[in-house]
Amino acid sequence: MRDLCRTDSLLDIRTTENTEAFKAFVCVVLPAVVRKLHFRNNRCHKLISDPDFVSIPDEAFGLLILENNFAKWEQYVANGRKCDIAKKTQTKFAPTVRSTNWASNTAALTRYNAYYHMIQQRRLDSEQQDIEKEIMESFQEEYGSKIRRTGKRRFAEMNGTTEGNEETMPPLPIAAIDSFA
Amino acid sequence: MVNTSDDDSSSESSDEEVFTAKEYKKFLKTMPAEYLKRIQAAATKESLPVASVNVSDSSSSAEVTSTVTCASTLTFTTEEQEMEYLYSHPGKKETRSPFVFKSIANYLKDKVFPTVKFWADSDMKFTQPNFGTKVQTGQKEQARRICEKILEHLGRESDSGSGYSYHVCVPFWRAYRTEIKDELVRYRANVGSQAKEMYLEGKSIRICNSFPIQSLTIFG
Repeated sequence: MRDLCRTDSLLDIRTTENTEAFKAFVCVVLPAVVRKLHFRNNRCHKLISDPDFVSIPDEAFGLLILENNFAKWEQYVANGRKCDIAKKTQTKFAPTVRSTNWASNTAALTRYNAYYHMIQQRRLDSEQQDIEKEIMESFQEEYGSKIRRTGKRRFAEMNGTTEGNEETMPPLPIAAIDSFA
Repeated sequence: MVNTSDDDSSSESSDEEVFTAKEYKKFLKTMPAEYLKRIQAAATKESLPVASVNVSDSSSSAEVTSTVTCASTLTFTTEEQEMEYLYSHPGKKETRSPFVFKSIANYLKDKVFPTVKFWADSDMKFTQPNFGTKVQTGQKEQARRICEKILEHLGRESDSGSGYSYHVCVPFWRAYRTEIKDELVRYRANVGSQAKEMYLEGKSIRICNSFPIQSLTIFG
């Protein structure tokens, strides 16, 4: 992934030659874009190209952020977090060193559109879908494929009762309303 | 629309033009645009926000007095003019509520941000989108589409057959547009800072050991 960033060829990230770079991108950048909790909840049973998991704009934006900040982040990696050189390093699409208003830059938006179209095309490829399946299976190996239920369903499972099977559920306690009679 | 009131104080002013009811109706039908211009000119002269027509028919001969006031009723020839009035009048803005905005922010985070990262509209189109009824669905601005979706999410009742009219959309959009824009900018910034953290601290969620992502987790 770093090589792709250095050579300014992130548009080729979704090719068979750069599978490892794509996997690294999925692990490092995508959780931040789609929110970590959402990523954690879906990584084991949804493909990357699933729009409910990672939409095309999410992926394109992740690539854009990586391209924009790569030089600055590398400076941090080389010199440490409190490095002044890294702080003064200009990001790719920022107009000045201090300005953070890079999103209105036309070059950034053009690049974003290029990423968008590239991802839109490549997501349809069968090879890419195989890679995505491979990533999902790797996540399953690492974290298990069981979908963790939350809330009411989770407690129903813990108590040994299943949703929709009310016959097996224990009877609800009856309120002693007769005492008012 | 003409506001009829029994206020006689306006008729005492010497600067006012006096029309008969017949003349007034004829005047409105034949030259509404020119009439509007005259009212607006008078309003700007008196430094009022936007002019309106206040009609009082106190006398039995149905004499109608037209006067320039700072009221909210005005005869508009086109919906663009009315929209412009809604955009410019300080009173035509919805009262902002933090609870409503919280709901908007949640909607933006869950539904809008995954699909919209940058605003496609220009600044002017974002600030004052065209909420007119004549605009076709395919030609609607991004801001307008998002505004309608948010209103739907908030459970606002649609006041026209096809959805929300500009009477609902414009005051709402005026009240919340800056926050909506800022919210999206904030999300973008958050993504950037979180990605940086993951890149630097090696917080990457490991797929499995076979993938060489350790090279990225240099920072210990």
